[in-house]
Amino acid sequence: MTLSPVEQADRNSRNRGLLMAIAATVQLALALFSALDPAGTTDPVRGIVWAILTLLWLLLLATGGGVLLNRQVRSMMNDEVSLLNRRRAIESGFWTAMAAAIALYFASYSWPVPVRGALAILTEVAIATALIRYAWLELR
Amino acid sequence: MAERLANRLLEVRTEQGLTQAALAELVGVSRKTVNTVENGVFVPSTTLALKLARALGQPVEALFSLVSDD
Repeated sequence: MTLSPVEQADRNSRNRGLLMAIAATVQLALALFSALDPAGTTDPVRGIVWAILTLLWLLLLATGGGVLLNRQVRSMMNDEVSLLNRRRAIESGFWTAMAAAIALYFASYSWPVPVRGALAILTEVAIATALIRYAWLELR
Repeated sequence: MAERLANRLLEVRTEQGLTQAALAELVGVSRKTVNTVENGVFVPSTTLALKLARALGQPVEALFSLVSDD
């Protein structure tokens, strides 16, 4: 049975929300690994994988995804409500980034935090927050 | 005096025998958007309000109004 554009948009939006939730879980796991093993961030292969994943999630947050879908379905998926949800999600990510930066700043007085490790933690928790918020807003 | 946007979207839509999905398709938005506007959770932009009014064949003032919470 062929789905109408609205039904396709509904289904794809729901799948996008679930993907965001999974991506957020991956990001939080990465943040935990970064925090437990800051020295591991010197591994170039891990660095490249991290950069690719980070860029993918940022692209998803910036565009809403669905670039391979037809224009009508994509337009419905990225309508006013979805754009507002994405904006709110990115705001949450920003504030989390600020909080993480301040926490890392003061933590560095007690524990030496490598720069690369700190940047990885900050980025991962900020993106995870944005993804979780977007997933929550889209799936509720 | 606090004011909020009220709407008759549900009433007019059901009078015309349209589902949320059908109205969403006419307007070019997701069904969720129609749902959140109907429930007052989301305040539509002027453009969206006008598109909804056009799809339902009503003036926008017949669909949306300001009500006082006092």
